[in-house]
Amino acid sequence: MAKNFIFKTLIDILFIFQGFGIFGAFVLAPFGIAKINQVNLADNKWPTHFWILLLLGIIAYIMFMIGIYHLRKVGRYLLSKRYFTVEIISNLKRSGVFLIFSGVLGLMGFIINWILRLEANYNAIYGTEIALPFFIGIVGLFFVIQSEALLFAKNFKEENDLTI
Amino acid sequence: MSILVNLDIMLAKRNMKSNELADIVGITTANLSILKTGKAKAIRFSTLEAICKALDCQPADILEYVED
Repeated sequence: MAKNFIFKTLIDILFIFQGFGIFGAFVLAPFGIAKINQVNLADNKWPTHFWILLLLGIIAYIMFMIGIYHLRKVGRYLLSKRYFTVEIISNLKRSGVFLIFSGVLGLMGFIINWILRLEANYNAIYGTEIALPFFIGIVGLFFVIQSEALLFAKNFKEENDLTI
Repeated sequence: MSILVNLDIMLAKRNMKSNELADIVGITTANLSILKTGKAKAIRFSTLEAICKALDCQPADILEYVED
């Protein structure tokens, strides 16, 4: 129970802090306090690749946040100790799928950045570390596998409950 | 399901009520109801043995195979 509570709390903290971060970025960016452009190129001089990378990064981040949102839902059901329910299984699967998407998009961003570096000697933007999208993708895949394992367990439990 | 549970017939033959059988066998009336209505997925040998003992019958008197 304590573990479930800690899990839910950590996920909530992560989610809320990310929310603060997004809000802060929107509020501070117009004043130039938070520097978003790390390429040392004016926005209007950005090549298409940079915009694609930025777009990929934003979509990957949104996917990650949706994944975390579904994980919060899982945490909520874990607190009520209903492990073998459709809600936990479906939300865990959705979380996994979104994390996989996020990881794949992050990897695509890395590859585009890598090609840019090779071809044009551009070293584009932030968030191009390869280990993180890999890890997010692996965790997402594990969640999907875990949801399938839980589905099996749910069926076994139902069968066991109906064994007289 | 192609396995029919004829527990009602045997209970009527022995003039016994469901809750009496449940008490003797040591299962809840809810579980006995699941068994009677054919919703059960499986039955333990120990439960079957207890039911046969209580009703003084054979497993074939309770369970029947019907082709779909």
